[in-house]
Amino acid sequence: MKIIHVCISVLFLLLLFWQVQTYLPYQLCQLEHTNLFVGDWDFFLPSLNKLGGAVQWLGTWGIQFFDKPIWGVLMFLLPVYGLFAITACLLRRKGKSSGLWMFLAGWVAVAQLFSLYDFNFYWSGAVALCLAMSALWVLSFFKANLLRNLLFILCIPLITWLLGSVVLVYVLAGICLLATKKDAWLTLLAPLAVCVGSIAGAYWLGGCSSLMAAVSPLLYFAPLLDISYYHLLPWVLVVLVWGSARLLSKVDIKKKVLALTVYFLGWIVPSVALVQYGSTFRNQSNIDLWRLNHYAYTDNWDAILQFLQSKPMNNYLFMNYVNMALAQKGELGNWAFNYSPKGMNALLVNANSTGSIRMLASDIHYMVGCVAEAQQHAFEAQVTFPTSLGIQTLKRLVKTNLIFGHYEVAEKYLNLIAKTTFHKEWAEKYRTYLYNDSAIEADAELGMKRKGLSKQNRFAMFYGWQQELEDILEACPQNEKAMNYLGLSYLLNKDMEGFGRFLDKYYGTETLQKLPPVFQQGVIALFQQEKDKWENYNLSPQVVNLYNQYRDLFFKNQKNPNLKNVMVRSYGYTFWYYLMFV
Amino acid sequence: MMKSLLYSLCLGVTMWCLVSCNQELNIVGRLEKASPLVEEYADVQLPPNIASLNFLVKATDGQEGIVLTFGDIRLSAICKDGAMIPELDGWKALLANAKGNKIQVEHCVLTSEGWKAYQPFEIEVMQEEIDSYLAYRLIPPGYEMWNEMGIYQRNLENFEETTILNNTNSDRNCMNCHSFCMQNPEQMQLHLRAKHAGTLLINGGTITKLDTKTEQTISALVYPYWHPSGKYIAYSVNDTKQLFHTHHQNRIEVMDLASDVVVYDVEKNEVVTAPQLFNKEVFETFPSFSPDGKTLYYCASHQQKIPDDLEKLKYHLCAISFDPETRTFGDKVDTLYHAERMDKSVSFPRVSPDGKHLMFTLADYATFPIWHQEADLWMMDLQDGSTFALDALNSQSVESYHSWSSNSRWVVFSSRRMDGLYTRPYIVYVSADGTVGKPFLLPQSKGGFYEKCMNSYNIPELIKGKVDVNRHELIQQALSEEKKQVTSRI
Repeated sequence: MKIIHVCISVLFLLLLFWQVQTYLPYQLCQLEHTNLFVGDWDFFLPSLNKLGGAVQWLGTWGIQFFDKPIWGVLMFLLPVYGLFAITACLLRRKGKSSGLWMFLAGWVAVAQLFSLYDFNFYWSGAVALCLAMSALWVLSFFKANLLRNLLFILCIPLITWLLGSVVLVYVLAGICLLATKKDAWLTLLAPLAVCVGSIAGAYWLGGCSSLMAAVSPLLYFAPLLDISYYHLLPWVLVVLVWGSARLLSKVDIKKKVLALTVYFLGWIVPSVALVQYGSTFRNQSNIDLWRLNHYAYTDNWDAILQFLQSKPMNNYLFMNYVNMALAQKGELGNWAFNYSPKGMNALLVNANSTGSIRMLASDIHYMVGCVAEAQQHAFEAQVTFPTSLGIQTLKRLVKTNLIFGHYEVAEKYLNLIAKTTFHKEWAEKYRTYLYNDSAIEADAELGMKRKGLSKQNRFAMFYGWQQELEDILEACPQNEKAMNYLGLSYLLNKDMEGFGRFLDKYYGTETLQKLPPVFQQGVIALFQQEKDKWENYNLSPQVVNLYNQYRDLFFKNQKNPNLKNVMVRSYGYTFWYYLMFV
Repeated sequence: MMKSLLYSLCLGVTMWCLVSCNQELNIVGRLEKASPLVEEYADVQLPPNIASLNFLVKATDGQEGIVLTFGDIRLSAICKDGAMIPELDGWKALLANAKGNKIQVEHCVLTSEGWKAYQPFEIEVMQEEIDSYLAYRLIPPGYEMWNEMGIYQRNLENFEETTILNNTNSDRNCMNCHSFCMQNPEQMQLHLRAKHAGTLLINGGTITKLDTKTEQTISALVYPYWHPSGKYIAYSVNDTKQLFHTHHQNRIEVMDLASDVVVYDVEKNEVVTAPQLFNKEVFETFPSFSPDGKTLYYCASHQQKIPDDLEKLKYHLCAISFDPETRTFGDKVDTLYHAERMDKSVSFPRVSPDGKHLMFTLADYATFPIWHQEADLWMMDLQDGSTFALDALNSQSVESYHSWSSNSRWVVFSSRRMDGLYTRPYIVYVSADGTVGKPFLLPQSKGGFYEKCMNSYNIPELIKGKVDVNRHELIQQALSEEKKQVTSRI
C-alpha cells in the first residue's frame, strides 16, 4: 500500500510540474524580470518592519530562479510540493487506514496552485502558508502536551511577524489539530488570544496597511487590485483538512472496494480540476504578452515571429512586437504588412500605467534610438513593480545612463545588480564602461546609440514621433530602424503626401539608398498615374509585376461584393491592400 | 563543559563588542600631503546637536580611518561600507565639549607599517543648535507614475527616522507639500492627490480634511506657506503640465499653464486674494510670508506660449504688503529681483526667521528647478536688497528647495550633486551677515546608505520637534471622504 501512495503522489506531483512547465513558464520569467533580489543586509533588515516582511524577502530570493529552465518551475512549485508533502504525511500518520485520506493533500495543492496562477498573488503567500504549516507539522511530533502547546502558542507572534496573516491558518488548524477538552484554555483560548493580540499589535504598530490585509490573503496580493474569493480556498482547505485529521483518523472504510473507490476518486478530482479548469485561473492574454516580453528581453526575435505567425493580429501589442522583431532582423521593409498592421499604433502603442506596456514602449524607443524616452518608460515600468526594482528595467536604465554619460547614476544601478546572484557578471561587464567614453563609443550597441543621439532637443511626442525620428536620422543617417519606422509611419497613416516628403528628403542619401519592397509599393501607390516617375526609384521588376497582378485581379473583381476577401487571399500582405481595404 | 563553552562564547562576544565600539586607531606616522577629504570636509561647520558626521570615502573596509580630537577627547572610526562614522555617544560628548571651537581631524590610511595620517584639518562646532527634526517626502525621482511614498521625519540628533504618513495606508495615493508654521510640528498641512484627495490640516492635535477646490480657482490649493500667526496659509493654485526632453541635461520640464496666489484663512475657512495676485496674464506662484507676517513674497512671470516659449518664462521675485488684521493687500507690487533683466528665473523665496535675509533658487527659466541642473541658491540681503550667489554651497548640479531653522543659523537644502538624479538633503551654516559655510550631507548610521537609497528626499523642512499626531486618526482622516469645503471670497 505504501508503494501505491508513493507512486500516486509522485504521479500527481509530476502532473503539477507538467501543468506549470506547459502553461506558466513565461509567467515565471515575467516574475523574474520584474523583481530584483539584492543580497545585502540593508535590503533585508527593513523588511522586518513589515508584517510578513521576512517571507516577502524570501519570496524575492526564490523568484530570482524562476527564469531558469526546469529549476525555475521546481522553485515555483516548492511551497506547493512542501504543503502537499506535509499534509500527506500528516494524514498518513494520523490515518488509521494508513493513508486513505492522503488524496486531500492533492486538493490542498491544487487550490494553492490555482491561487499562484494569478500573477498578482505573490509567491511569498504560498511560501508563508507552507512554512507556517511546516511549523505546525513539526510541533505535531512533540509527545509532551504541555511543551507542544506552549511552543504552539509561542510561535504565534513569531509567525505573525515573519510570515504575516497566514498565522490565522496556523492557529485555526493548530487548534483543531491539538486542542483537548482538558487543556481548553491552553489549546483553544490562549492561542486565539495571542493570535488576535499579535495581529492587532502588528497593525497598530504600522506593520501593514490595513486590518483586512492583516487577516487575509490580501497581504500577499498586489495593492489596489481586487482580490478574488478563490484565494481563500487554500486557507480554508488547509484548516479543514488539517483540522479534521484527527477525526479522519477514526474513520476507516472496511469495504475494500469502497475504500479504493474513495481513494482513487479522491485523487482524480483534483487532477481533473487541474487539467480541466486550470485555464480559468490563468490569464492567457497576459501570458502571451509576457512570453513576447521574455523573447524581447533575450533578443530572441525569431521566436517572436514564430509565435505570432499563428496568432490573430487582433491587438496593437502583438503588432508592436512583430514590427520590432522584423526591424531587429532587418526585415521590416520586406514584411511590414504581412502581419495585418493597423495605423500608427501598430508601430508604437500608447503607453499607460501598466509595467508591461511601458517596458514595450521602452524597448521600441531604445531600438530606434529614442534613448531618453526609453529611459523614461523603463523608469516608469519599474515604479509599478512590487519592490519598485526589476532586473530588466534596471539593465535598460544602466545602458541609457551610460549612453548619456550619467555615470554616477549608472554606477548606482550597477552596484545593485552586482549584488544579485545571476546578473553580477553582466554588472561587471558594464562596469568597464563607467567613466570610459572611448569604451562606450567603441561598443557596437552603446556607441551606436550615443552617436545617434539627436542634435535637436524636443519635448517627447509633443509634436508627434515622426519629428523625433527625423532628428535621430539627422544625427545618424545609417540608423536603418529609425528610417524604416519613419517611412512606415506615413504608410500606416495612409499619409501619402508625408511619404512623398519622406522620399524626397531621404531617398538617394546615406539613409535610404535603396527602397525596401514595402516602400517600393508605397512609391507605386503614390505615383500610380505617373509611371514615368517609377524609374527614379529603381523599382524592382518583381514589385512591378506584383502590382500588375494586383491591379488585374482588382479590376477583374471590381464588381464582386466579395472583393476584399478575394484580394486578401493573394495580396493581403501588400501595402496596396492595406491602403484600399484596411 | 557546556557551561564553560557558553562562558567563553559570551566573553568572546563581549570582547568583540568592546573592540568594535571603541575602534581605537593608533597613528604611527604622518603623510606629507593633504587628505582628499579636505575639499569636502575641511572647515565644515556643524551644529552641536547633530548626529555623527559621515566621512565618505571610496575605500575598502578597514583600510582608512578618522581620528577626531578636541582637548583630551579622542574619537576614532574605521571605514566600513564607504564611510567613517564615529560612534554616536562619543560623538555627542565630543561635540558638547567642542561647542564654539574647532575639532582636529586626522584622516588615516592603513599601511604596512600601521596607521599613517594625512595632514590634519579642522571642522568647527558652532554655538547654535539646529532644529532637532527634519521632515521630508521620500519618492523615487520619477516622471508621472508612483508606487509607494511617504512623509517621514528624522531626528537630526540621532539616526531615528519615523513615518508621519505613508501612502500604503491610503490606497497608494500621492501625498505632498507638507508644510509647517514657523517650524512648529503641531501646525502642519499636507495634500493628498488622486484617491482620497484633499488637504489635511493638523492644528494642535486636531486634524481636518479640506476640499480646497473652489469655483473661482483653477485648481485645488497647491504650494503652501504658513503665516507666522498660524491664522493664514498662502497658497498658489496651478495648472501644471509635465513634458520630457529628448536630449537635454534636464530630463523633465514641469511648467504652469496658469497660476495664481491666494491666501487661505484657517479660522474662516475661506480664500482671499488681490488682483495683483490673480492676474490671468501673469503666472503667480510660490508665495511665502515674511516673519512679521506683513509682507507676502511670491514669484511672477508674464504669460508665455507653452511649450514653445518656455525658455522665455522668467519668474521675478515680487513682494506685496499684507494686513493680517483686515486680510487686505497693498496696492503696490515691488519687484525685488527682475528676472527678465537678469535672464534668470526665481523659485522658492524663503525669508529667514530673523527677517534679515531671503534665500531663493535661481534657474535659467521656468518654475520647477529640481529638474534644472543649473539651478543654484542665492541670497538677498533684505536690508539693502543686494543679491549674491551662495558659491560656497552651490555645485555643478542642482541646488533647489531649502528651509531655514527657527534660529536663522541653519539651512537644509536639496541637492543632486552626488549623481545628478537622486536628491539628497544638505545642511549649511548661515552667519548673521548671510554668508554660508561649507555644507555637509545629512548623516546616516551606515556607510553606503545613499548609494543604496532609491528614493529622493523631497521638500526637506526643519521642525523644532517631533510631529506627534495620532497616527490612526491621521490615517482615518486621510481615508475619509468627508471634507470641509473651502469657500472663496474672490
